[in-house]
Amino acid sequence: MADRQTRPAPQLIKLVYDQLFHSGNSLSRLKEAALGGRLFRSINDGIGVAGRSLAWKLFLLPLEPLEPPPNVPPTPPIDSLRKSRMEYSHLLLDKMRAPDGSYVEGFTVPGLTVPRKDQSGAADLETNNPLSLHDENPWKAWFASVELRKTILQDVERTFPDIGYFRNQDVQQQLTNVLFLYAVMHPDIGYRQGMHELLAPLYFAIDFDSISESSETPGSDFTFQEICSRTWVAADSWALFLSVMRGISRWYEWREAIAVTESNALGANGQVTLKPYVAPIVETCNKIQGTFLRTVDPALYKSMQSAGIEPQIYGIRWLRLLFTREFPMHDAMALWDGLFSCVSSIADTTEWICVAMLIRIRNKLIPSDYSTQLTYLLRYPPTEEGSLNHIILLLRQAAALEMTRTPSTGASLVVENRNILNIPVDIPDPPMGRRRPRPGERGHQVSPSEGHFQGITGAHGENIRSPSHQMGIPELLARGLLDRGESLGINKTFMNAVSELKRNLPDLAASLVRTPSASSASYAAYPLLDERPQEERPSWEPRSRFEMEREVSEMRQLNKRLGESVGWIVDVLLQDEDGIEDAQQLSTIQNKKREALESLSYVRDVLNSGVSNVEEDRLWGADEYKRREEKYQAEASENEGREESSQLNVPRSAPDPVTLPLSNAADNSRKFDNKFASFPRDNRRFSPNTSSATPSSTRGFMRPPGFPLSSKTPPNLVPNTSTSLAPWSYPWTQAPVGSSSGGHSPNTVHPSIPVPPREVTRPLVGLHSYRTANSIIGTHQVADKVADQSPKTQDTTEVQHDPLGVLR
Amino acid sequence: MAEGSNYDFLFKVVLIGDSGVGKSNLLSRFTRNEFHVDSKSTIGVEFATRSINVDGKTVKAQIWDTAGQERYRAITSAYYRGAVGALLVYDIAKHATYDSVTRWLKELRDHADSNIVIMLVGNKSDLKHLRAVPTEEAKAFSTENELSFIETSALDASNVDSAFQTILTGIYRIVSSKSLEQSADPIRAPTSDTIPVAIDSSAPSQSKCC
Repeated sequence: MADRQTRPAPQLIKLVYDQLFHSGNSLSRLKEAALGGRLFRSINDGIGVAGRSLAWKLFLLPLEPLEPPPNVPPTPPIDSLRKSRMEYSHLLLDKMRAPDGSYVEGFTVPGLTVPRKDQSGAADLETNNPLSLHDENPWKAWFASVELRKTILQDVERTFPDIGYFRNQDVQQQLTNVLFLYAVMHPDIGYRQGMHELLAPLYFAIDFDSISESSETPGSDFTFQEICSRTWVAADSWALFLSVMRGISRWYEWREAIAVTESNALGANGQVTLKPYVAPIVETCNKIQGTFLRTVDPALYKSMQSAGIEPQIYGIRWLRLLFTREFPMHDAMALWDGLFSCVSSIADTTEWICVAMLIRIRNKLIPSDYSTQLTYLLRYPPTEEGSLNHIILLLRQAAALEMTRTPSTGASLVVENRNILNIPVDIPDPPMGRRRPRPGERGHQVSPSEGHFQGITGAHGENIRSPSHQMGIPELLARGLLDRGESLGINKTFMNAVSELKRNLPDLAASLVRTPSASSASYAAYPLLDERPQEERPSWEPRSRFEMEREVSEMRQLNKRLGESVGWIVDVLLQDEDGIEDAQQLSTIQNKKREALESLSYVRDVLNSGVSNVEEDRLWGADEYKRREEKYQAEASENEGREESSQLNVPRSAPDPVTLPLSNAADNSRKFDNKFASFPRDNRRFSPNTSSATPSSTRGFMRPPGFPLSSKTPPNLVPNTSTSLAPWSYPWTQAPVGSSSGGHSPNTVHPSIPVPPREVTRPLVGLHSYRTANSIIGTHQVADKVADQSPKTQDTTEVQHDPLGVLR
Repeated sequence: MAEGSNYDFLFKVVLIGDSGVGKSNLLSRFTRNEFHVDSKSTIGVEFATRSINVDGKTVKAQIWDTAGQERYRAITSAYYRGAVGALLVYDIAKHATYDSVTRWLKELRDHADSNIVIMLVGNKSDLKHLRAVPTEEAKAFSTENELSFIETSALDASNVDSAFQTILTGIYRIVSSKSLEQSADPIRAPTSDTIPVAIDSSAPSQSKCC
């Protein structure tokens, strides 16, 4: 096996092992280190990095029996490995056996002995013989699997031709086995080209770190030896491959038939529509370009769109191979380190990495025509800085984008790319006359600040662009400052952008913050848009009161849920199992207790790590969760029924944004609202799908005063008291209880009615003006939603929500 | 505009055929004069261009290459959109790849424009000792189905240029014989009930300045 690369000394691997499992570092710290490229010492230009597979095993394999909290040092995932190793061996033994019980000569399975051919002759030779034409002839399936193995081998033989390691026949055999097993175990997906290049690096890394049983290991740590055992390289790669594929296998899915699927889950407007099958990969690609990119870098989106680039053309390879063809191997592996350690799923992070990659080459893409764009996308240009940093940067940018999906984040990426990668902000030599000018009035409104900007940003200072140019950057930056609500608080990268700007333009902030009121003329009709006029708010103020309040009430809500969960756990744990004789009952109780412990450990994690997205089903045992959910649903449908019958004949789904068919209903409800202003309101969670403002306003008035609705609603989903309800959960027309008597005094307005976190550009509506505003703002919001979800919506709906016109 | 815009005609040509018949190497041989004994399997799409001269006109060929595995259909529509020519490749040393030719023809009928110019290409003609598909058989099949036919070897470069030259010339002839009024960029015309081949709209101005 001379061809196999020289493996690192076991001591080096042990170093990483100790760092992972014995350094006292918590899992989240380790992941952070991996994300920042600080996990391995020996990162160089080589493909192999000692200990990498150990980190991957830790990040990718499920930890058993209990998921440890992210803030304690992890334990080696040895149980999980043992289990998957045995599984692999048994599967291999099972699937590689020919119908006559024989195996290919020289076939071995780690950990098991390959049985000799069973000669009992029990098989019915009528059906079970290779030449039988009988339908149930097991040889048919066998020949099919032989064909499948041939197909797989054809690709495996071509795996990373420039890496000698993969020319080794034994390696190829093992890779084929793993892929074959995957295909057999996942008949809905099967084997698709590309899988082999996902598996190969995993296999390589594990083999690189493997230690032969006979060799001396430092400190004779048996767990270490077992984890790195060379016997199980293939089995371990299978386990990691399964884990990776769990996240992204849908990108390999494809169905032959032009099946018609019911897509009510995806129906953007809540409509149940029948549409032809769209492969998930195409869907994801469309999302990346049509939604994500469009949101964070409208100019680039527009340029690609008008060139006619279809995202699946480049996306299919980026996504299916996780970028191994877009970057040199050692870079791609560093990227995988980060991918596997990301908090969100591999798939989500991957999608945002694609967006960050597009933004990185925007200067090349925007001025290019179709062919040239395609060439860049299909042969991703190497980043000039050869260092690893650009990968780390990419991961960070993807995370930033995922967290804050705004054009300002996109702009901050551009600035970052200039600062770190020397990619100029200005787009070279834009083609003329390709883009439509923005509507005149808008352009005029924006141009002063734009001109100001241009004059200073330097490089092409004298070349002041006309507002109709879609350069995007100055606009994006301006937009970035305006978008502060979200970005300033959360996003470090954006802070970079801001400080960058400040350095260059001391008075920029002052000149810019005035822009919105000037340009958002359509909103001028609604006087108080924030709790404080925008002019007064310094651009660096990190958070508005709204956000703080939102956070506090979220926190309260979370605490309450956790408290309820703990209450349930205590109840379960207090159950006595001594007196119980019935074995079944006993095991039920024990099961419940185990569930309770799991929930408890989850509660601990939540409390320790500050997870904000609490998985409801992990707070309770399975039964309890079901019970609660049923209760909630029963309640919900009961309420629904009541409302349905009581409601005016008004469609509940999103109404047409422009025409207002609901004006009568709105008037009515306004009257009712006034009349019943003092009634406690229904605290039911506001569902965006029924976001029509007017119908929801009718909910309250049918209820008698003091109707104890809140106590009936399930505690885990909706809190009992109004204060613990997240402010945006209120229906638009619904006043919080605290303001029931004096809803018009701003002082009693308590969390008021803010908008959901991401919709920053929409004006906030103060409570005292909500009644006038809701019929308009509410429908605007609906319009906006429609626009958000269907990228092909006409521009006209957008115009109203794009005060600066940067989306044009 | 950017590079490569000095051409009179732009034709999109797709390479199809079973996995491993040498599509990618035909592409790299034609566009870059390169050949790789061990080349990676194509995932998704590859794409390259080369301009050739036909009757004194510059014809830019935009050649698309895709994965041969049958189930790779997520990109089918995008792949065939605007294609005016197709090289249907099989491996003369593997009869199974030749058997698939009918299936690929069906695929073309289903997804590509009905006027697409198709050429059957028996690749790996250097593997004489392993030949499994007689030239005559393929030739007869081509005549029957009104395809043009050629045998190539991306490895020793024989006939590769002439294969592309032939199909591009064929397309050019059709285009120039048809009315040129219906000009539209073949790439950007997703649904064309007009002729599949067309001139790039920038062509006239380009030729004037040359």
